[in-house]
Amino acid sequence: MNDDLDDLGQLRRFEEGVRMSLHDKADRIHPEHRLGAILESEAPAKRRSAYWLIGAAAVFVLVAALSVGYLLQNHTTASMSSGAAAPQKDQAVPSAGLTPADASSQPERSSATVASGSWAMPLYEVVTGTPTQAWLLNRTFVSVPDPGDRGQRAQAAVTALLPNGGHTDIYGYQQPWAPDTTAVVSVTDSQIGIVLNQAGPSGLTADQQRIAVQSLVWTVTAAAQLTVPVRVEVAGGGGAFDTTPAGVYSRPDSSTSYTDLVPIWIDSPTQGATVTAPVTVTGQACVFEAQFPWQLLKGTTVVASGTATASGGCPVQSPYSISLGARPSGTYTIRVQEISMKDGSVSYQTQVTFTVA
Amino acid sequence: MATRGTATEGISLLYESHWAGLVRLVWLLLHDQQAAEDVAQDAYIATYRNWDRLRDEEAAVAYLRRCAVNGARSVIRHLVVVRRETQAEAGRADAAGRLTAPSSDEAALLRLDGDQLMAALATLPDRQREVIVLRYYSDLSEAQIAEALDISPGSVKTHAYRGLRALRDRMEVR
Repeated sequence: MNDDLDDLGQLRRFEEGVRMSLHDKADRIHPEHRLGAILESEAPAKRRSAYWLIGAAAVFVLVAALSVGYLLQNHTTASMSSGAAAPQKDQAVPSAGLTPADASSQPERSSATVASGSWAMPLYEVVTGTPTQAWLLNRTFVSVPDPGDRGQRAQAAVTALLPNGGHTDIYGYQQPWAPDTTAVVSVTDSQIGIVLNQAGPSGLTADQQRIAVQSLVWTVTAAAQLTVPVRVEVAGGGGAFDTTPAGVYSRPDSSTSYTDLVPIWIDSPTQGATVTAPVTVTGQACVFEAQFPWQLLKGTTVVASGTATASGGCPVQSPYSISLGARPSGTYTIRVQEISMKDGSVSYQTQVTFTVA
Repeated sequence: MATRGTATEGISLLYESHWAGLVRLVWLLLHDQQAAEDVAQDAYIATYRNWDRLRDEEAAVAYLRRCAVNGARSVIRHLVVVRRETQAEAGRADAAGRLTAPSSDEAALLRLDGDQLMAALATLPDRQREVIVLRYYSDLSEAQIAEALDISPGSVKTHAYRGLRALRDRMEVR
């Protein structure tokens, strides 16, 4: 009897230990935000059923386009020395790469994940920054045929980032690397290696050099889905830039990522995307008091405007969502701006142009 | 629960309040952050698609959680062969099965080694692991766990008790 009670007492204390330890371990996980992908992936079933014919036609067109695109892409890929996939013009938000649900209990997967063989390649591209920081990184996703394992994905993303990879035509785009720069990427569980064939061009400021290197770091770790240090080297030795040595670089932690990333980015719609009304704009922001203005333009005319609020304030990036409602068919531009708390001027802005079908 | 506009706002609110917690919950079941994010994303997409059929926020959260646990279980099934190979490569000294020497130092009972706990957790049967995580990480009631796992409250009690004892037996308490 006493033994049973002792055992029960020990088990209760053990329970508390389990509770504390589970929280301690799990709370170290800081997931990437995917609200944009979730909202873009699917409409509720009731609405969707009303548009099934449009949906079916869209799927038919998508499949046809992907088939043609895949064939063209493979042709392009085969001619590239690195063997990495080049980006397509169309951009896409990321979709889940697994098939985890029990078929009996989970509804069918979204159309966004049906395009098997494609991959939403993450790119942290250099763009014009703020008055205090000339260059920063803007995240985009580009739909490409899935290159394969994490090493091949990492290689593909870095190749796409370099001058011959074909940039994604994003607002404020900058290319920091010299023409004909190539890279060889290697991936292990503990480190990623990038060997450039030549150093970056001279004439960049120290911070521009840093952002250029961080562009590689953010991109390759996102593509490989590994939070590990990245060794950046130049074949034959030497630094990555004039005053930036070869060495091991990492992403900053989430509380200081604003030193690398733009204050606001737009996850969806993506540049050049065609969407159906009602339109919802989603993205990430790290701005003063979590609020920033937006404008919807048709051509050069502002047709709607407002103030958006992210779910949290700086220094950590937080998701935001802007409901644009039902809009007539046409081409629109959504513009978001960071306002300087010092003098009220626009310290940063970005925009995405999309079409409402 | 009404229109798409409401659904978009609803899923956005649900995302703000539960995304990180749901990813962490799945991570405790899978030990793989990318897979956890993928599973959680699929759970949100499923919830978004079925928003009109969910009666209220509480039902949406329950559905979300259920999709996530089912998704994690499915991933575990797919990865079981890979996991075996990984454990074999890790060597016998690090294998969870060797961590079976409980200490009698009761004063240090609360100082569990997180890595050992995770290793021991991975060796539990699916149901026991799920109940342990939902109970001690998500702090759900027996009724909520029963709903999430589609089992009876009595089974929840049984899995919780057996799982906890198995965990304790497999861990080296420092």
